[in-house]
Amino acid sequence: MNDQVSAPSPVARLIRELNRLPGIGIKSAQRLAYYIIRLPSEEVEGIAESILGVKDKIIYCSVCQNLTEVDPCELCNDPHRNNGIICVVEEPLDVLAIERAGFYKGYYHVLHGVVSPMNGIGPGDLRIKELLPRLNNDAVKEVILGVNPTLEGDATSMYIQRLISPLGIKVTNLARGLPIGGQLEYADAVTLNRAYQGRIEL
Amino acid sequence: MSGNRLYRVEGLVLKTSFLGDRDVLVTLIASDGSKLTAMAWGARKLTSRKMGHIEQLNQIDVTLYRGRNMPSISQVQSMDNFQILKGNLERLSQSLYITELVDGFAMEANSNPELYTLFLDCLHALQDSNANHMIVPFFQFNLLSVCGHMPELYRCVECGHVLDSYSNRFCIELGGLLCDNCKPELWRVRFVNDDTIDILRLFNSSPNFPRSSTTSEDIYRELRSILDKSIRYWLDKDVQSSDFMDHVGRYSREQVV
Ligand SMILES: [Zn+2]
Ligand SMILES: [Zn+2]
Repeated sequence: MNDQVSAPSPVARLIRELNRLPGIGIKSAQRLAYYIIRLPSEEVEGIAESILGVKDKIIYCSVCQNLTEVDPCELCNDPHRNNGIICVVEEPLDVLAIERAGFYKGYYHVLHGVVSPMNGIGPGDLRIKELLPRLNNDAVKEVILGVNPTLEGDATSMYIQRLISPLGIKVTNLARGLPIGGQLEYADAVTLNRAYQGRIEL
Repeated sequence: MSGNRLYRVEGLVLKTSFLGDRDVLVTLIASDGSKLTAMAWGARKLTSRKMGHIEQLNQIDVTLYRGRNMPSISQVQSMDNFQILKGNLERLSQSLYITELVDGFAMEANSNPELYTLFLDCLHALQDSNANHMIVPFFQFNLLSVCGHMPELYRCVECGHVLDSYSNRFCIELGGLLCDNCKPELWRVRFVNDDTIDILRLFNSSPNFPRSSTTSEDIYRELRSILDKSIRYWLDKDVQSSDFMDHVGRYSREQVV
């Protein structure tokens, strides 16, 4: 903190703002700030514009809640996808990961987080209620809960499953278990147990 | 300085937080009831054996390495990961609530073995097939007790006289029932039903978690209200996870009816 105080105030402000970003500690913020100061003006303007552009141009898709420039987003607008399946994920990055893998052809729903009761984040803080109207037609046959296998992810899955179950739609979980390239001997009992529960016939 | 920097602790994981992509900060209550925070370096790496063991609500056997600022986890083995409880939304929401309370009342370097035992017993009770909605209020009452704030149910909190059977006025701030003569002006006094007082006295005399419940909805609500407010008073902050627990619980009770 002392370094901040001794820096000239516009620099101190930049350090303070960068420090607020996730994963950026005070040391990293200082390093980034002094890097930016040494950049040519055009490059700095480019960075600033891109940050402002994100706020101006990016909106939530009114269907899947993913971040997008057009509403509905490109994925929701794609008629070649399977409208019988919706995969529910935590974050926009999860959509990218699944798309990159290339096997999934259904639609998505992005929650923007998981319930975290001890941090005061409840179902109302997530985009769960936006999922229900999407299920009120006969097209959707399966909802895949693709949230991360953490305690809070599981709580979120159980909560959504309970909301959906009266609708008579099949709800599935992504299988949990052994990572590809991982070793059985490194797996803990819970992981092994889940891998066992989710075993499939060959 | 002691040469041995490794030491072994049994505890329950209260919370975890990720630091960057690799490391995890683990807060636990040790079996002596003190709270401690330890670093699990590299726990999020795929080859790490630690991650599954240090999940919230796990009972763990952990070997710690004494560091300059904070201990780090050298080895960890889960003794019980409460799978049944974690697979049931209502019980999980209750567990997270009691975990937040334990996190709030436990203190670093302050031993309180009864607090640890109460927490562990409560998780076992929630894991049990007889789990019912009296477990949380029973836990709340006993939490206040083991932390030195047990509600006074037999003598007037103001003057100390033994209470009559019709003393039904309770004061959260003074921490118990009042006789008919005492009217503290500074504090709000609330009327409490006989049935609610009976349950509180039963809690006081019972060593075990209730295995069944026949309380009416009204009495249950009054009981929870007194205990919630007492806890709020001593903790001096809101309990974040109570909304989720009550939201999930209300839904469950409606489904049953
Ligand atoms: Zn969309
Ligand atoms: Zn009195």
